[in-house]
Amino acid sequence: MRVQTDVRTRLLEGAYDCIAEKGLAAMSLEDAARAAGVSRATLYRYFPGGRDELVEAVITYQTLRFFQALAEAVAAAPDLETLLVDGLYEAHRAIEQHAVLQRLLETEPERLLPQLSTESIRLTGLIASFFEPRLAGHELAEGVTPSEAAEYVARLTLSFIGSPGTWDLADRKQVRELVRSEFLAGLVPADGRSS
Amino acid sequence: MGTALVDLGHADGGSVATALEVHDPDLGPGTAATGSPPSPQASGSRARVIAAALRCISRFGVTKTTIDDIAREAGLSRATLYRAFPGGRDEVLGAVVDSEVARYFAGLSARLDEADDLEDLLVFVLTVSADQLVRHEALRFVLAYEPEVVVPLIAFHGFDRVLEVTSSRLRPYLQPALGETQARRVAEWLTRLLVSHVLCPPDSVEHGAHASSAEHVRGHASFALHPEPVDEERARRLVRQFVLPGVHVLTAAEGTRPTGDTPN
Repeated sequence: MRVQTDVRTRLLEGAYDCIAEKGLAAMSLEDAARAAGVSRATLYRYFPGGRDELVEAVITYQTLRFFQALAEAVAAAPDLETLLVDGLYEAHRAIEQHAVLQRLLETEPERLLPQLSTESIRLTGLIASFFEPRLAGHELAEGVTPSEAAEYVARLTLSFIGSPGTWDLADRKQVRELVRSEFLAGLVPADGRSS
Repeated sequence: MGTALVDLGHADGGSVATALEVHDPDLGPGTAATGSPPSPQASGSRARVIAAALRCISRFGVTKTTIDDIAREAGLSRATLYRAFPGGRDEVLGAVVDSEVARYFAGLSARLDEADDLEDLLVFVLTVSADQLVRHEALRFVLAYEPEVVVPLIAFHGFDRVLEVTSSRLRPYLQPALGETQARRVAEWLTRLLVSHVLCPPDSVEHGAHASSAEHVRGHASFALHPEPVDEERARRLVRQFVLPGVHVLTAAEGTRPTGDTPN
């Protein structure tokens, strides 16, 4: 089992390197197999659906890695407000600096975005799962459950990460204003936020 | 200025890349398309062609709809169709988008005019918009079977553009209570909640380790729209619990209190 997992990961990373170099449409299964050090037949054993299945798995894998790295980067935040401010700021920076993502958004949006957007259902659940235990340990506004609050925060977080709209997420002061109003105002007790 | 360009690929090999423009919200449908105003006869044909094209898209999708399909559905000859739309298929598709965007905001405005206070206004933005989106047959088809046509319009920078258009349309309703800056922010905020619920309906979001995987059709990533992603109860809950308190923080920070109602 252990070996199998490694081959799969190697294939996902090899394919990603090929995509980074050539793009989604031009990535060839031969190149991906070679980059992973396996045969084409082995690749098909792991991804019977061929390139569609492989590309989909690469996008899922890279998306999860992105959010895992983000979660680790902000995990030490001392409080909920800081966690959200750091999270949005770091996520925005990471997206802007993600060379492969930015190039694919420019060159192959019609191939990348449907895949990436259907990930959003899974990602909303994943982000909610990250926030729920933290919200459970926090004083919330009357009638708000950690589960409801976590889903609300997850929806907004994901929306802002992709599209900042009129907010400048590179400006920490604005991010803090955003977090205090749209994210936290209804979530935490009113007396706890005016200070 | 400020138009979103969309490439709509053609079924056979993407040789015809169509530039579809979502025109500035201040312009009516089709007004930016041509220089001289069309004759009454031509504008009657235009409306027929647009309606026919929309029906074709609901049935076959964007990429498979040909100019002949549209002419046949409209009951017009090719020649008549080209007189109304000299730009052919590309121009028809652009006019369909313009017309549907205008219809969407007209439907929304009609309900927003009935709102008695800020809370109702915000609730209606969510419920009426969601209802119009999920009932839109052409949109349903395209999201399910040709997401590559529409998703670039509603993700990343495409979504920034949606936010811009929506907030400029909602501004007249929100600005009296909130001032210009906060009206724009609140309009965007509601649009985020709306689109998030339409694309990720509440029931689909699973917390915990077994977060569900996305739905796939024919090996493609695609969206199947939930019939009621934001019902009245959920919309009111979101607005009362999360949005209104945030609106007061935003306006308080700016030194202007919203007029109208106060939070409970």
